[in-house]
Amino acid sequence: MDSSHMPRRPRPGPFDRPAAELGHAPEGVGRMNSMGIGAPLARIEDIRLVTGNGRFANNVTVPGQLRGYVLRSPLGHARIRSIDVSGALEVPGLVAVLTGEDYARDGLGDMPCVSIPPTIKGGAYVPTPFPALAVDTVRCVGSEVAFVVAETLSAAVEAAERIVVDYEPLPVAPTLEAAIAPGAPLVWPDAPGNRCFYHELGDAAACDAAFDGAAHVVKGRIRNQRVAGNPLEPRTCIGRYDPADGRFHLTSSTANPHRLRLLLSEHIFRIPAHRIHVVAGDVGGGFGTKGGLYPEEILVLWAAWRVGRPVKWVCERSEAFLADFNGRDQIADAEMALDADGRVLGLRVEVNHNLGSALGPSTAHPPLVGTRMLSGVYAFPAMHVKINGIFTNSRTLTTYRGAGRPEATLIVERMLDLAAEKVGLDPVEIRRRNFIRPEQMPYRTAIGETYDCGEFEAVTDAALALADWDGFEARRRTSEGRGLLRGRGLSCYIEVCATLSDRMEVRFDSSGCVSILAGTFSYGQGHETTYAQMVHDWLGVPLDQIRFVQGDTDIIATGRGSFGSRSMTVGGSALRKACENLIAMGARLASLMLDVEPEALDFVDGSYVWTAGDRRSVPLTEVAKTSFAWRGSAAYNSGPPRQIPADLWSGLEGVGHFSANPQNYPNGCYVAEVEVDPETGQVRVDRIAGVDDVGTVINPLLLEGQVIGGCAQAVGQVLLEAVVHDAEGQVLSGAFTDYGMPRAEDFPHMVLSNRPVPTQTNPLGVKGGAETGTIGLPPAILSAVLDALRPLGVRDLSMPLTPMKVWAAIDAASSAPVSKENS
Amino acid sequence: MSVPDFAYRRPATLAEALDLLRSDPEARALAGGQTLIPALKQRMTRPSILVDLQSIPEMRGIEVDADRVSIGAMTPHAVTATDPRIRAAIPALAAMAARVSHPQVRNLGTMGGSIANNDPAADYPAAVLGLGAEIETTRRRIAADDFFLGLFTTALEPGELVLRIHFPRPDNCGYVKFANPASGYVTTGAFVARGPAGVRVAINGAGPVVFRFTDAEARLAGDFTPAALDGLSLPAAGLNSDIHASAAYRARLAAVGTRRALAIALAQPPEQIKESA
Ligand SMILES: Cc1cc2nc3c(=O)[nH]c(=O)nc-3n(C[C@H](O)[C@H](O)[C@H](O)COP(=O)(O)OP(=O)(O)OC[C@H]3O[C@@H](n4cnc5c(N)ncnc54)[C@H](O)[C@@H]3O)c2cc1C
Repeated sequence: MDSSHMPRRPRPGPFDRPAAELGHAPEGVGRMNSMGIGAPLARIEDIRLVTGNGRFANNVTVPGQLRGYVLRSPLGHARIRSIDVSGALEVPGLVAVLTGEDYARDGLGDMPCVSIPPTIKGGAYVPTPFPALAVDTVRCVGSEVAFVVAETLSAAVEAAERIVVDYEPLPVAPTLEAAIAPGAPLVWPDAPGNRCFYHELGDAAACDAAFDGAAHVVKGRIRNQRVAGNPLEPRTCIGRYDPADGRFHLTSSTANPHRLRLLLSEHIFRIPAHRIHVVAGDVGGGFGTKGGLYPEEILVLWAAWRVGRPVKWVCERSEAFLADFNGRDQIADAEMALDADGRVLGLRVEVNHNLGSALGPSTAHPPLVGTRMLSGVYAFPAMHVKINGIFTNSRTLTTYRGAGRPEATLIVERMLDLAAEKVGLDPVEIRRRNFIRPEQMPYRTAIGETYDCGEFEAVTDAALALADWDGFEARRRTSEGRGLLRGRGLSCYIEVCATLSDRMEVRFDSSGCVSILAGTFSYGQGHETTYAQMVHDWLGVPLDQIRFVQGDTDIIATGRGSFGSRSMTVGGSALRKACENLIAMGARLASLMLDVEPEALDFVDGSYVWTAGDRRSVPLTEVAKTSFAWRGSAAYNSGPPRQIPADLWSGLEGVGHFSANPQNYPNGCYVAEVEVDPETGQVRVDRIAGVDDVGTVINPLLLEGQVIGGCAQAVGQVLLEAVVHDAEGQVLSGAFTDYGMPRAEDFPHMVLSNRPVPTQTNPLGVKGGAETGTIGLPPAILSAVLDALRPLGVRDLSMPLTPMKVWAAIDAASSAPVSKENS
Repeated sequence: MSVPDFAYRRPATLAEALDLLRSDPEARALAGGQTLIPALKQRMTRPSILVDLQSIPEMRGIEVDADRVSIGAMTPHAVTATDPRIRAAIPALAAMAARVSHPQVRNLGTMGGSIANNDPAADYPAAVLGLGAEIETTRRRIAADDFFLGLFTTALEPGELVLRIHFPRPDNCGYVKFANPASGYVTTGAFVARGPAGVRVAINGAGPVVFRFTDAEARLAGDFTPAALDGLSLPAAGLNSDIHASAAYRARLAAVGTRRALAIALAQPPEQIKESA
């Protein structure tokens, strides 16, 4: 073997990065490859982020940049009679005031909706004009009315305060309840009943038959409230038009740069995509909120083009409560039919989902995708689902972590709890009687979803054991001794992940280091670490010689971003293929270098080895360097130099594509225990345990972080969070003083575990792992609170379970005569 | 949000501060800035000059003797929370300060700023009224009962500054706060104290301004025990109502809070200074 081919670590030099900047595996990780797939590696990107070296959009200052400020509608619904900007024009430092009229004059397009498929019932929906600045009508508080551009933010705000808008107020339907009420004011005149679209799943006739033969029927109305995404980093964007290259350049806190470019090019500016350059640096969270296109991203580019200087816009914290698109917001009316033994015969659900006042790119996604999961992990023989997309005078709806699947899970699990009570079964037992069994896989649900694998009863048993479900009674008595009511609840969930295709590229440079060029986009998920672990495993390149690149549409050929827990499946599998393609390409060069047929070479631990022969070998990194060799000759030992063919002589790279078809179905079970103070209605979540099946685990540490984060958001939604409007459409929850975010003190220690059943639908066996907590946990907490309150006669509660709401329910139950028999 | 322009001064003496405040009707005193700066950012107020009270000696320091605890107006919550003399003499006051928001706010926000602002959802007014403290200003001494007049309104006249707050040392004191689930401010709180001024119960957060719960005081005056509060309730009329708490819920919390504050008052008596000390 040629010793010169042994991988060598470069000698430390002045420009080397200290080891502390790189990821490290915690002590005692007992595997040979302690950095590869499966290793609990700490996040490589964290050192950069926690030492103030992140590059967020607001860290970017472009020479000559102006500040933009959006004047927003103070009314929930109004006609704009006139806009008088003359006062604003007198403010020193003002550069421009743009209105909807200018927008129309310049011929810019409307915000598109790309989430309603042509297969929608009736093939049609009510589209909504959605210019980045309102033209003649505002339909929610916060809609964009004018864009003020000035030398400083102060001047822009000052000028905006001097714009006089003459509004003619119109009747307002700010909430779902108001918008579906008979005779409700219309948000759009051409949408009677405020209905944008209607869709159906399942079989109405089969469902009717199931109900006819039922021993028990239970009904429930399940409200899933509107929440705000509240990413840590507020939305920020900087637009620049460069006359030298004739291109629009956008730096944005977007969670999806390529999608943004596509929407801008196709729908807004209607120019070739190559004339738009989108860059996203570090992005501080999104949860779906930042995934689409926002008016401000259009406004900064358009204004920059008009005034000839770059324009920056930064969303204020409280402005975000009006400007960011919201999540959830659904009313479901459900009926479940069961036989005498508690086996479900049929499930009917009618969903009204609040779309807000105008359709954004992803608005219809939650109602249409979430409802696909209404069979849960259960074999419901007959189902019929009706979905109404409803307009209201509230901000546009978008995806929010889980996007429709938390809504579906809450419906299914709540209905099973109601059914258990009615039939007289324990909540665990009723689930056991209805689980889809492993031997039924692949299982096609009554609404057409095909689950490939999953062991739902086993994962539930694991969660019950982890939660010490059977030890509840002793804990209940302890709580009782302290004057507190203790309750427990469980929730089994399944979701669907990994949509669309993606593209990944691995590329060596002339020094034998690898760059990963990702079509996905990480904004907190830790891809810099997980993808590097994979490449380290597959190519044998040390972690500190792997670089991660994403988020620049000039560098990344194409991509679809990260959402719906797709990246490990779609991005990871594409990355796997890219590595395989690279290894195959390298094998041809290695064959020249080793003088062995490519087919005879094996790729082992980062080297090409002639295992069937004399074990001569060459490391991939050496092959990569050779592919850049100036003179273009490759040689084995003292053998004659060979000319490298052109297709192997300009670097070594691999491109991989993947689309998950079918998608995958993460599932699991969460258990919660709560204590309720019956005097004040205060709820404390005391225990959370959960077991997920997300298939193969790439990095257990990062996965646990994702699950904990999801659980935190679940606690937030169940106990605290709500976007609240008054009757006029004013947002009463427009700041953190009124919008309750969960804090560390709101969480117990979470006991989490995995029970992977790897899927065969992708080469890695992974399932989505980023949304399990937000989807799986909420019904368990709600159920636990209701369990605690059962002795007091409280039968139903809607989220968020604020102290006042819980107290009011206790108060109502204790003054109602029916509750006496229970107490 | 952008802050409107203003001048900033940091006078070294009280006289200088008062001169500055007199010099311009739009001049405003700045203490910890935890209320004033957010209001500036929201452009709700546009002062011409901010007069920072940071360096004024009369407003600083804590003095404790056998009868009183005197706290300078510029004392930040973090100090009130941790000062061993306050913790010993009025444990409920220290505990109250420790539960105001997060460390950044506690390190900057001051007792003087809090009571001058008189937010109905603030904590200190309950302690000041519940303990029957006296507020020493640049012009006079004002009894707590005469200080908190209404929503964000106090007896302070324009240009009058709070210098110190003098608390009589109680025999018993307890405070319970039911926090707003979003803001952490007070939804309703109850401060129960027994001392030289008799039994006093102050309720904050529930109404437009902190007030004394006279029914509870009357019950406890002769019988400082939980049994005395059996069946205690507060009428909801006139109490605040918002998305987090109705007037009826606040009334309920006031009664529950009073009982719980009494339990704390009985369980955690302050240290008394011995005769010899
Ligand atoms: C996130 C957050 C959470 C909070 N939570 C709570 C809470 O839970 N409970 C609570 O009680 N408070 C809370 N606060 C308020 C905070 O604790 C301060 O008490 C409050 O901001 C006022 O004190 P300050 O020193 O910051 O005053 P400033 O903001 O500087 O001043 C407030 C007002 O008082 C005037 N003023 C200041 N000092 C004097 C003086 N000596 N004499 C006369 N006038 C004066 C100023 O001119 C101004 O009008 C919170 C604040 C924040 C930002």
